[in-house]
Amino acid sequence: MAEAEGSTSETVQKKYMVLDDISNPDASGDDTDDAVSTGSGATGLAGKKNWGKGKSKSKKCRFAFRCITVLKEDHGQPLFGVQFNWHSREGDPLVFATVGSNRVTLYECHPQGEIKLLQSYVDVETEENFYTCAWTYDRITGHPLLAVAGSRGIIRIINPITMQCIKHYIGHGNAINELKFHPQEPNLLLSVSKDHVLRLWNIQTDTLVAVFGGVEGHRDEVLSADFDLQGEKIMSCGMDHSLKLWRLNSERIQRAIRGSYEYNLNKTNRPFATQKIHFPDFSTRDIHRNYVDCVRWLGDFILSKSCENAIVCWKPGNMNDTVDTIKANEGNVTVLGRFDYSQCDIWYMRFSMDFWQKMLALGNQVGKLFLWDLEMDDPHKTKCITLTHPKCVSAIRQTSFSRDSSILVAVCDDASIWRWDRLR
Amino acid sequence: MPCAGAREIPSRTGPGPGSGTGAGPSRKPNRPAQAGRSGARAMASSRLASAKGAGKKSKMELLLADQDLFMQAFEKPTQIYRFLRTRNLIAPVFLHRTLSYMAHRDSRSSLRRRNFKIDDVLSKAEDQMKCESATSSTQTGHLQLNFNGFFSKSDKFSAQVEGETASAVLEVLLVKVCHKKRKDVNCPIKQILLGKKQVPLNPKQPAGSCPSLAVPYVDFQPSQPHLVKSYSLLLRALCPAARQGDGSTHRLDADENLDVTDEVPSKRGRRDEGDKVYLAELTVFDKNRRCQLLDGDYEVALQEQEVWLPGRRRATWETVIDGKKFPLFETFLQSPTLQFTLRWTGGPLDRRAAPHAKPLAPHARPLSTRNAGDPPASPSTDPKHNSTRPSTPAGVGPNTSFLPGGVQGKRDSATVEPQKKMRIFYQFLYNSNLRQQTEARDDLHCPWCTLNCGRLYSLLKHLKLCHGRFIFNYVPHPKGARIDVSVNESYDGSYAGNPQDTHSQPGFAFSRNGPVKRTAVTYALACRPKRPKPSLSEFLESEELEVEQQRPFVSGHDRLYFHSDTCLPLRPQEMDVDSEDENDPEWLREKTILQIDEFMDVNEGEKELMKMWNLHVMKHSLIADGQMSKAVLLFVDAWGPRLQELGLWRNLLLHLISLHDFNLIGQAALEAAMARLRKLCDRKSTHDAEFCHYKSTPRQEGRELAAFPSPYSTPSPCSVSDTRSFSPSEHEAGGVDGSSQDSLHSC
Repeated sequence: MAEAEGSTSETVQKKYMVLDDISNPDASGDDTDDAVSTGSGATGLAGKKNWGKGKSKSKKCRFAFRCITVLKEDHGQPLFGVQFNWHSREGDPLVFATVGSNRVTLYECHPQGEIKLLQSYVDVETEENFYTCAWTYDRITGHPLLAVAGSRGIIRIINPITMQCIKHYIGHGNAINELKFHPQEPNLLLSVSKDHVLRLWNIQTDTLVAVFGGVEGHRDEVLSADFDLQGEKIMSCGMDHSLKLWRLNSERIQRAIRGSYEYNLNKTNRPFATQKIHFPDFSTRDIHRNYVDCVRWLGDFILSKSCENAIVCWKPGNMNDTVDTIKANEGNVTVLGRFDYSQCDIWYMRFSMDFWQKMLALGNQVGKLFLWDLEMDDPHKTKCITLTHPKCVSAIRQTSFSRDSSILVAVCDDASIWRWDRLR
Repeated sequence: MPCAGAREIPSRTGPGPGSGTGAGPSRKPNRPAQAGRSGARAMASSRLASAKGAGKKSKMELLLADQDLFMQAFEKPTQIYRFLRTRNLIAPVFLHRTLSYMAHRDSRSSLRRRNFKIDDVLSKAEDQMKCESATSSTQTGHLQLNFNGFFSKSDKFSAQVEGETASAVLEVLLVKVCHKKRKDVNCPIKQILLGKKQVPLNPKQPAGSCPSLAVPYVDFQPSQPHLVKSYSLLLRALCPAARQGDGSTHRLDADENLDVTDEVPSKRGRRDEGDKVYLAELTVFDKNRRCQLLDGDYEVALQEQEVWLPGRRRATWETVIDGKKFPLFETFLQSPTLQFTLRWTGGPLDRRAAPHAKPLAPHARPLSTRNAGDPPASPSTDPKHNSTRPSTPAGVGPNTSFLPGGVQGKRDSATVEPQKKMRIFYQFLYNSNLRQQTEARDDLHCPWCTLNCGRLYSLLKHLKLCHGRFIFNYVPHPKGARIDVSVNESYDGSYAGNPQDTHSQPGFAFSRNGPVKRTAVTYALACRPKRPKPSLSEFLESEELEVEQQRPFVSGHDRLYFHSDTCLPLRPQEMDVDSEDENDPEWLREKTILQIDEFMDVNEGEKELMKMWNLHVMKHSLIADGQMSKAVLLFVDAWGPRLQELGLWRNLLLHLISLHDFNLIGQAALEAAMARLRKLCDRKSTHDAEFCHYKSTPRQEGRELAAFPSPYSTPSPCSVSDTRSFSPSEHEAGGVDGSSQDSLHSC
């Protein structure tokens, strides 16, 4: 940590401060030490001030969080997903969505610490169980859009402005485990499913651009996938312990994407020619020995986790290979670092990063939150802080940072939502 | 054990069967929350069927439970039909008047359609435009108002001013109610003073020359078309105040003696100095630009300014019990009235507004014609003359609610006349026991959707066709008709519409925001069955019609198919595109290539040939030994250039020889194949030579190129540049060819 406090991170810290000052001007930076000194106090719910505070093993942690509010949705079913809307502008209300049971609920975070319920959508089918959600926006109207999907394999696109389900997509043969939008193209939606494949949809023209899977695809449920920052490649992972790379910058896919925009259902009698990609551009089973349930790109590196109490940072090929030149038959991988934690050996637990990819958060099955500072020169020296609250004892399925990183929201199996605000 | 799948997804057992297809928002009609408990709408009488031996308590309980079951059985279909009724009012799927058995509901005549030509539309529009331009240029139209007098019902008041030549000052204002803009709370109103007139107060006999006012028609024409919503005349009468103090008290007494329950007199009593201002408002053109004031004599009840509320509707429903004094009906008795004659002159109204006024005509015309019969200058002072007022004074409620109702009744009685005393008894059967009998009024409304069917035949037909969840049986009855209603156990409630609609994007199939393109799946079926003459006997319960065969609503593909490769719904027009019958799907070709690439003990040239041969065999599904001779020839034809390009001449020969060794091809086939390849090579090599030549002398362009017999170049300027652009690569290919051949020679 001592190195981290050096010259490089100090400038970064200032950047943080600037960011924070914008979002909450009357915050002071002194609370940090206070939070560190306070343990995860066992005081009751009444003492709101002394609610769970971030306990850090290191003496000088650059950030600390304090639990502000807890909510509980009345259905009592596990909440599997939470996502802040990162497409909002500065000054817009901080809105996040939770999914669980057959509900999709939208909340707004007030600066004073409240969480205000905005909207709630209930699927007509009581059997539906939503697992995941993702935000995008309409390019024409600028409306935010929320895509949700779950056990029935139907993707729904909700427009919170008109308060309608504006689109739905069927096609997956089984439950959908994760949804992601392309970082550059707000109309391209990636869905990963229990039916062993990934699908890339164009939600503007309602076309299925490509299906990733088949001969050399995943051999079991796909649990997670992520676009890299440019949206040129996808890394997917699943129950077959494997991680697979699918390139999107090939001519074939690019032509299909262009074609999907030109396709008009009403003007042609031919179906859209969906590309079936059976062969990944890279595949490995050497990172994890169990279900791989979460994967994220970190630059050209990959962060992935299994239910083995560690998030692994790795890259395909040897140390000197770059991702873009990796051949499909490359057999080597290079593990760069591990983030260890405890009591998180059930599957379908997702970690998350903040918008600037400087913090990494993961909850475990007993309600503890682990936070890592990713701005380390040496990944082996990354320190972890643990956020605990005596009342939070249920498995935390997913976490989400607000875009300005000032709020961390965690959702649990007991339908509770925990808001942690960053202390300055 | 994490592998066991520790994600605890709660498995909730759902109530009953889930909705079949699932995708898309629920199309099932929601049950209306306000649904009433009993089956039909509130009807006159109902009684429990007398069950035998109901004396015992247990039997009574049994009966009650049975009754509950009966209610439940009828409740669901009733709620569904109630919902459908409301939906049909808001967004009708079809119009009842277009149904053959409801022909009498269709009041339009299609006679003009027979001679209709498309050009008529243009000529009609031209005529109308001509008319409009004529009227606007001449501006001849006038609204002529002749005021006969201002009448106050107070005897004292009239007697008092009798001696003098009393008169009231009448101001006529034109009120334009404009369209509300988003920010406005109320509709903006513009008032224009049209004129001030001295109107005689309580004239005994019609005055020879009554004050008149002419309003040009132009005033009613919108200067900016969409701004003004409606026009009305505001009549404001200024009555001279009573001169003497005792006169006013007198009048107060008189008012109190009349025992009026309204608050008007008391207010009047409180205010005892200054001129009285009475107001009334008459709509000339309503918001649909229909003329509400037709020619005729009018008597308008005016109200004091304090009481008068502009533009507020005060229509209320009241029960009239004979003998009881009813304040609102006596408005004409109590409040002062203004009598005037109204005429439209100059005819713009006749041409333009009259057609618009048509919907109102049925009830307005008889009244106005009756009026026209009366001498215009002799309005009777009899308050019973109320009925001749075609329009209602603003603020005076009962007429507005009273008049259309009366007309409605009149029209109904005209159509239903032959069955005027008809009574319909609905008998609700459950478990073939009579559970409830309900007697309907003598109108022929459908009890479920309140549709006025007009005739018994239509009613029965409607019930049978539109309410299929019940079974209706007609039984003649001395007093009218009896209809036995029971629940249709064999009703097929499954989705009968276009299966595509359940899967199309929301708003695509069932848009409420306008027309949408729908996926056509069915063909219009023109069916002209011989319709039997309508007779009630078809509704009688009969044995052979017990299980009625209903024609399915959808012909052709009445189910949804899915693409085999993407699992996406298949549109009917895509039926032929989705093919699964290819022998070499892309993935298999790719897989073959990858697998051959994995061989360690085969050189690159051999790999290439193996790939080509395998793909060739896959593509043509060559499976028999006898096909081989043909296969090699085909192979050379298809892959010759590629072989040539990669220099695999010898590899092919080797392959053919091994085929020959295994007795798969004869010597002739081998030679033929090689000859063919040689031929290709020769052509290619001359080709290459020419290109080489071209390349070596790049300055000699144009003419020489044009002389080439090459398939790449045609003697046109653009192709010259084309040729130039890819010629180096072509040359290189030749070079590779040569070198690889060399290598093959050496090895």
